[in-house]
Amino acid sequence: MSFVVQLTINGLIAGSVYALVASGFSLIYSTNRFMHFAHGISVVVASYILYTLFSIAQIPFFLSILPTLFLSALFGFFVYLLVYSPLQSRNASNVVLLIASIGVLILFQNVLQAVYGANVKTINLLETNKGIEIFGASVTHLQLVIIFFSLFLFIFFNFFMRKTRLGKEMRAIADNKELSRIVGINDRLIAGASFVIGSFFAGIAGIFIGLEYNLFPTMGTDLIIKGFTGAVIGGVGSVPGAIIGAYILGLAENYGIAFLPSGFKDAISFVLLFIFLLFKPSGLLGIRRNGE
Amino acid sequence: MILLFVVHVLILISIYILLAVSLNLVLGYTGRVNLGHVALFGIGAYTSALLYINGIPFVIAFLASGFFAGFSGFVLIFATKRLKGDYYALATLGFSFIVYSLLLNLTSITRGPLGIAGIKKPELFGFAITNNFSYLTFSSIIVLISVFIIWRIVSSPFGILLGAMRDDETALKVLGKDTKMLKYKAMGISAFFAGISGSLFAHYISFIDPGTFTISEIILVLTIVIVGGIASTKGSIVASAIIVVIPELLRFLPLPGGIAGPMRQILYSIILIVLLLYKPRGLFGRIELE
Amino acid sequence: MEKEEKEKKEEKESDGKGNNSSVIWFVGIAAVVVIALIYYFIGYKGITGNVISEQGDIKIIKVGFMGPLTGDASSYGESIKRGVDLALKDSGLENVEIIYEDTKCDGKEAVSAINKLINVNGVSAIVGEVCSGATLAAAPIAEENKIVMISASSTSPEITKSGDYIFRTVPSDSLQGSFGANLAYNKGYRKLAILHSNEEYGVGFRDVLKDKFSELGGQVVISEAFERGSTDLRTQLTKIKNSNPEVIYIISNSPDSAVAALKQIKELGIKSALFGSEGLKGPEVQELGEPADGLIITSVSSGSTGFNENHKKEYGTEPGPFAAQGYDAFSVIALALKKNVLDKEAMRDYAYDAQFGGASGRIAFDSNGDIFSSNYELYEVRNKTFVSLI
Repeated sequence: MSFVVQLTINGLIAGSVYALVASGFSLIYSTNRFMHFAHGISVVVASYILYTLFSIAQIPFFLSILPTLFLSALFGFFVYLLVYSPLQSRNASNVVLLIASIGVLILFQNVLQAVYGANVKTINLLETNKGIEIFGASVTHLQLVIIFFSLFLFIFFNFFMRKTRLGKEMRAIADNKELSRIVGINDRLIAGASFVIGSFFAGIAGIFIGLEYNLFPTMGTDLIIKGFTGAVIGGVGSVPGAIIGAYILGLAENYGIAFLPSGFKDAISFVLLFIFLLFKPSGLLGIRRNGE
Repeated sequence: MILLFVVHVLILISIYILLAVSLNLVLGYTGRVNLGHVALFGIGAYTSALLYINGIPFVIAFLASGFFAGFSGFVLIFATKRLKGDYYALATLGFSFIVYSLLLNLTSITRGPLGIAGIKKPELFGFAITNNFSYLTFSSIIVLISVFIIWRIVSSPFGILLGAMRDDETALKVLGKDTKMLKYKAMGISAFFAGISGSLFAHYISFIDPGTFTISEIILVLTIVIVGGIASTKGSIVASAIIVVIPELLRFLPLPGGIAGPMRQILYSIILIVLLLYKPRGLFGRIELE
Repeated sequence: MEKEEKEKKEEKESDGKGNNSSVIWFVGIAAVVVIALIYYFIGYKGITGNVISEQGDIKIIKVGFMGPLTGDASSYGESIKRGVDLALKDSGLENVEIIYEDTKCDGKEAVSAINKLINVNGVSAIVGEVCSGATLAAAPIAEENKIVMISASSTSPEITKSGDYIFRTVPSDSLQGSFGANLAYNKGYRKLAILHSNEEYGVGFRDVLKDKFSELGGQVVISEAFERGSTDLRTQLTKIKNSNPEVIYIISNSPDSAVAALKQIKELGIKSALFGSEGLKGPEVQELGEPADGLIITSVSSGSTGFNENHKKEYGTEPGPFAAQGYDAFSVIALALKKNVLDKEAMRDYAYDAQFGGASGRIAFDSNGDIFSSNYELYEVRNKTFVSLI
């Protein structure tokens, strides 16, 4: 019994982490309508910035948070400005943008490796302690914080996308770009804004992931694949949908592993990704690229 | 001694030429970005290595690697037939992850992360290839023949149809051409040659593991194709030489150990991004990646 | 005639840029012809190894070193390098140069490095690699080129059969696996879980441990693998926890994974006793603190007192993992070179005949190139120190 509870908790932790990544990705996707695959590296860059500030420069943790978030948002925005925006003005197709995005991912992955080395880095903020026991399963305080924060994100984005003006404008653009321009929505500005906001959330993701897991340069690829898969499962054009999809993925992986050898965990998510792309690319919530 | 190093680089160039030219067949002529090309390369490498180690004569192992990769290509096309654009590209990427995962986890067949070591250079028609020089001759001949075949295909009426499909698939359908068969044929050929370049690679490097065939490899091949120019066979050949040689030159710079490896990847990715931004036709391309 | 027709066709089909495709074919054919010529005139006669470059009147002999100098196994690589360098210094040989290749514990890097060392540098012998997987990847190449390769730390049982020219100054895990199984059994444990890294070292050790423990009458309740270097082991540990073992044996040659395992075991509240293979006897585990307390490590010899003193005098620190074995590996080569043994087969024969007291114990190789002696040590981690138990 405690085994199932532990698997569930593991699934929720994984789902929360994937949700942190998927939410920013999906936000950017919904207003720009192309895949910002390099979002994964925004998360990793954030973790390394935090590591540099906190572990290397010894700046107190709470003072390190804001610069990390600010710099992550800036990073995402610069990728938009220097790579995507010029390509978009030349009417580049989504495929080109995707390839450019993967290029950016690989580029910065290797820059991080060149600067910090391939060794795993740890942000030693918290002591290692036995977790809290829930029905025989263990979960640490940090893990609980991550889970609750992701759930909060879900509620937040639901509210944001439906009730705030910016959110509604973003949904308008996602639904029909031309029409939204006609009614006076500055889609270029909002597209850029979504990069800033999405990468800000990548920064948050980076901080949590950096604390909970260890840092290594190639984790960006793993994270974006999982985050993207979660987004596809839930419906890539909807942020709350992406979060739900991320949780489904996390739970599927961890329950699946009860029956399969542990090495197949990633395979589960790859197969799910492939199946959804093939049969239900609009995701479980059925939100297509061009709106609802 | 430098001569041996040059031979080594030339062998790598020949393998990448075949990889790039075969990718260009689908990319340039059907317009669909197959990010799973390196997975097909890996399937070919593993097929050839496993068969040869188990005593199958090289010629059969070699051809089998091509056919098995070709078959996998068919499966991929079949699975992704309804997808377009970036969804298609991502599905092919997903395919390559699945292949990676299978190579890693089906340990009873592939030995998983242990990899396959000691893959010997082939013995053909009673003639054993024992050193790098003869291997270079061998791979050059194979690549030359293969590139020639692909070039003939591309210049043939079939190739013109493929180009037309890239430019306007709907129009082609209206004209009554069976675009589905075209896609299967193009992918089958492309995958076949990706498979045999995998065989060439495995028997040269002598050690393969799942980590050899990752997302970084596809970026490398894609960079070569784009630098050379979409739909330009000649471009892929020239670009392979350039892109393979540049980082090898890095070996001679006194870079600290941890930097040399990532430096190659940094170079490739910068070249790719810059090219997409400013010179998407590459060196010899007549069209852009659309 | 056919060629002319082809060329005419090619001229008609030349692309819009006006470049004639037949030029490429000419270049291509010319390239093949040139290559074939090179092959026949130079390649066919073969390249002899053991190339000794001359600087002035002194002939420099080169010895290769392959190991992880960066990346997560670098603490082993650095440690062995220090042992090797010390051995060179102590040997008094003036005309020997060591060429270092950073192979990051990776098979592909090792293959690339050994090709370079043999073909470009012309080494007479090699110390390496550190990780079993990398050693096994490079071994066929050393064997083919008849270059003696001695590993100071690769313990996979597979290496026993990997070649005539392949030696090691560290005992095979078929012995450490037995040692570990006996240890667990004698402590009264009957339910053992194994957490091992998924590569040659981990798999080899696991197989022996599993067989031996079952033979003794114990039960291996679960065996979980993790990808080398992985730091998220919750899934594996969750399954291990569920199988209620009395003791968990951690087999890892990646300090990062070992540290992560220990931390997550604590977080998950797993109460089993903990054993670790020699890969865990390193600075990272030592520095970990509380989660490592109580861990018992089975280890190969960490070197004689004399070697310890020598090492401390030279480097100011205690020898790290496998430093003594690295010292001994190079010593074998040094002794051969001192006797002017340069011919490839002779060097191999010399190694098989070698017998001396080394830094890690008695050095003598059996007919497979494995070392005879196998002294294992036992340590318990207490308060950031490795406390010797035997």
